[in-house]
Amino acid sequence: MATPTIPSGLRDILPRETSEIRYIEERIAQVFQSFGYGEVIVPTFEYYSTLSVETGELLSKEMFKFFDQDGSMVALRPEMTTSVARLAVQRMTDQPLPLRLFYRGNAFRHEPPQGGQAREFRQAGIELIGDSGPDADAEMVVVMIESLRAVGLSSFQVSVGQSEFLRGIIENIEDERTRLSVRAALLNRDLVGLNSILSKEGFAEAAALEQLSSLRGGDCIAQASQLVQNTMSLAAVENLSAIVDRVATMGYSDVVTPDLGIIRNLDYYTGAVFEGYSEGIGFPISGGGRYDRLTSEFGWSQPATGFQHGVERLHYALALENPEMRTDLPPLVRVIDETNDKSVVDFCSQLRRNGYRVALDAVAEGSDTSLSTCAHISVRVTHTSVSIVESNGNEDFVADLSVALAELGQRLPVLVGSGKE
Amino acid sequence: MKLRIALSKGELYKNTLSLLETVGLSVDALRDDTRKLSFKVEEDDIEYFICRPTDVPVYIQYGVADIGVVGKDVLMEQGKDVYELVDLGFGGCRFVVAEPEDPSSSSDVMDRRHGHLLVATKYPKVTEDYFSTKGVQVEVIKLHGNVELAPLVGLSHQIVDLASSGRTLRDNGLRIVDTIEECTARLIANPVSMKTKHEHISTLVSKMQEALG
Repeated sequence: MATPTIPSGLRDILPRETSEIRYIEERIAQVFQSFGYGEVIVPTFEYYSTLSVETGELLSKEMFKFFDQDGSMVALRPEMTTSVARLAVQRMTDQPLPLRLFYRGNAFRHEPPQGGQAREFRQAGIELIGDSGPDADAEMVVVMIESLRAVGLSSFQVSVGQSEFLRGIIENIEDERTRLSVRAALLNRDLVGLNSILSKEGFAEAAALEQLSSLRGGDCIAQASQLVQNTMSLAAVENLSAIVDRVATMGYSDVVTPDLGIIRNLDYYTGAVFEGYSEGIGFPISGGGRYDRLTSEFGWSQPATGFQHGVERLHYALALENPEMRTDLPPLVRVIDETNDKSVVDFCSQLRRNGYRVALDAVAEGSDTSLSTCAHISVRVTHTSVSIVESNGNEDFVADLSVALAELGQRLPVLVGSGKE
Repeated sequence: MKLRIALSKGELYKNTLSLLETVGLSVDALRDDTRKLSFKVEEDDIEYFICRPTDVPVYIQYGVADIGVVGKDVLMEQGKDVYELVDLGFGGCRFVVAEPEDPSSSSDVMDRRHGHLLVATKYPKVTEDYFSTKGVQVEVIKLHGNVELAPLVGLSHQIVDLASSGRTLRDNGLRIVDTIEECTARLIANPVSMKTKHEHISTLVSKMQEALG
């Protein structure tokens, strides 16, 4: 039999990393819940026609598609928002608005692995459906920040932009060729190409595009409202201003930057857009925005906003800050038992009641038990002795199991609420 | 916050160092003829990486380097999600479409046989993009070098290649049919670095724009 392999871009996650990832997702979920969001679980695959309803061409290409038994085309979810919107339209229209929903799970895309994101990756995010106001978008920013803080990320930034600002400028360009080439240059982040178009094809709001990458920070709102005249862009600036004011009122202005230069899926977002960054990670760790058109594609027109964390990217950012990542797992004790006596089983049960994780290995008398182990500490029980073995190999003999219990409590205390700080 | 800059080894290197010097950065260590691939310049709080030109966009995409210098030709072929900030003006060359001066030599026969255009190139993405924008269906033949040979021996009708003076094309009896793009060196940036190190990068960008006139 050849060595088994798995398809490229997929991976196994071993216990240590799994516990870290579960810890991250659990802390995020706690924050989502604390803001009143209810968790939903959506199918791993759905009709392709559902998942592709509002996504751009790129994401449609990236979906894993296959055929259901009846010949209809289905696809693995490439993200969760579309499924959650479909769920809301199908199942929750009788509920009072706004709906606050959250999810955590895996999503799938055919794309080259990049920045800790493989072809199967994990997302955790929220959707707020049925509220069009700036307060709803401000809530996204606040929940993003609170959940990043909750997992222990200490250095991050959140930028808030407004996609209608750019859309207004682009749509206001009269000449169609210029409009399309400006749009293409923006999507490619090609500021050289953009400036070359602007120098050839002057139009009223060209200055706003020239300065786009510096339209960020506290002054950008006043600055931007001088640079544009079209109604859509002006409304976008006003909306961003309201969101940023609200976020500041709630006390989060130190980590939030208004940024009209965020270019994020212009076809999909219809208002505020959010991105979270951590230094050292070349990709946003969190992202989202307002998507007021999506639910109407399913026949229920509701404004909606949301964001998601890329769990693997967040995990990577945390590991960069602190390689010894914390998890919620209590200490692991390995009990090596040569006696097969019920007192040892009782001892293990007592340890578990005290909050430890306990692995009990019954071994033959006189076995070599100097095995390396992933346990924090081991207890060896023979017919004649009880000893505590530290992970560095140091062995201390104690009188009996009850002394061992007390000694463990000293050396390896189970912290009440460990991992909650 | 330390700025990490990826530089292209090779043709662009010398001009890049002159530009960095013009904007007031210390580049003496980078001029030494060593095999070192990374340099820290403490006084400027900058770390430089020396990369193969085709690798520069990769370092930028992953955010291992914040900004970098690379040719537009490399950017067009790779299509990575990076900011293109400044046209540095040097390193000029262009993507051209060329075919034999005397087309009867090979392509007539092949036209009849295949009924569509065969194009040999080292740059399949640039070639696909160009012809699909023009609405022309082509079969792109990927080669790794000496592309001029392909139309002469009947492998393709046309080629897409980088030319600076165009002499190699002329020497091989090829004429330029169209210019796809003028390619000069560009300053590029990682999208996240554009946010997290905005001040640092935008200061450098305006200095460069000023120096370039």
